[in-house]
Amino acid sequence: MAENAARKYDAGAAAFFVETLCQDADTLLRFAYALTLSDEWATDLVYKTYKSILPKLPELLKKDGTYIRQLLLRRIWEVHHEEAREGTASDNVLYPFLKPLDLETRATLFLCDVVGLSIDEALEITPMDHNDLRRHLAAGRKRLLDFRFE
Amino acid sequence: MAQNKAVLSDEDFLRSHLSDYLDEGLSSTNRQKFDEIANRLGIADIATDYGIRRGRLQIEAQRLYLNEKKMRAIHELVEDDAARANHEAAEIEEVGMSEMKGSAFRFIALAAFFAIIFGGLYYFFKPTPKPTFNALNSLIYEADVMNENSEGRLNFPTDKVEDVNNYFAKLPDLGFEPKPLKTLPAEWKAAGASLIDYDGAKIIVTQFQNVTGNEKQYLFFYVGKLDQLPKGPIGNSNGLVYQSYGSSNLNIMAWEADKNVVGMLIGYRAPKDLAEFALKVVGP
Repeated sequence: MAENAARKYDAGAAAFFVETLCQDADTLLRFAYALTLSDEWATDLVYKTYKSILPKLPELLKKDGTYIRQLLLRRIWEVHHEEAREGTASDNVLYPFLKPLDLETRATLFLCDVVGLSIDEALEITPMDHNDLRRHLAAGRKRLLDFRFE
Repeated sequence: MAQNKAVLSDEDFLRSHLSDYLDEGLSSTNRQKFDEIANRLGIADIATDYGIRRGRLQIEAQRLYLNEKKMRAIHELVEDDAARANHEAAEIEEVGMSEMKGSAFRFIALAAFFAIIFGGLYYFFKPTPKPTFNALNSLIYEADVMNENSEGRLNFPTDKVEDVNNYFAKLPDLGFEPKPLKTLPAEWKAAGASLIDYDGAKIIVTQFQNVTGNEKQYLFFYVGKLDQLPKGPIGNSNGLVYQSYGSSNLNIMAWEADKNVVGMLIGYRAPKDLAEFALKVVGP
């Protein structure tokens, strides 16, 4: 099939993708940065996440915004684990704050304190024991309370 | 010894319930447990400190966003050839704009006519502007940091009230008209002013210093409404109606300084004293 052949999405589905699903793109990017610690890889991860949910597009048309955001966050977590990468340097002011933390701690901190998810919602994204998630969240918040952003 | 996974340590319980505590989402039993642990560990102000730090983290995270080019790459995952062709045509059109000047001029004239009509309607019926930042947490944080060391954070160092007024009057695109400062109470002097920009939200701040010591106060103004802040105790200082708040070491009073303009004064004094100061310095 030619590279630029027409996509098989009708105008309604394409508009839904652009106007509804992509509303969460910046939220996904922030979560992706917490996972990858790299601007470039975070952008790449967001792109791959959207690409990965295309087959589900028709069924998503009937879902509400909360469901969609949870799905996208869960997918970004899964896609990251398919090819986990972690930046070793970044000019972003968040980098020195996040770098000493492990992946699960960064993820739970961002999901709860940046995205604003509840503990139960965060557990749907990063499957782990309830108390383990709370321990990671506590570790992230300890770092937050000790750290001074420049 | 293996860690008992079923039980959280006191510190983990405390930190992992901070947002629930701040949002008053804890059961009375857990709230009591939270207070007991915080007091026992000597960190009774941990929730307030956390609220400020979380606000700062959110501000820093908001600086991450996808630019138009990267966003378009995602949109192109579902766009067909026709839609993509439209995008390319738009880009070509942009390059060849010089040929379109005649049409553009007519379009602009028409657009200006409608802009005046709709602009007028918007002016009278516009919704209340909402601050794009968490004003209370962010400005407590700013005051806290400046209070520790204001070097490099105040881009207009001066001790003259007239200079501060002139500086603010010349700032472009503030979105509001700064209230000029009046003569300060004898024990206070101006100690610099600055403009803070949170992703387009413009905040002006004046630092005041007590002439007999190192005590400082910070006066902020930004576009917004008082009812967009969390509810706090209401006070009235000779007609200046304000809401007050407290952090671990600072007191805050905020009032509606003008239509769609919030004033916020942060310092060590009681909110009532801060309100009296605000009334003297800028009026109700």
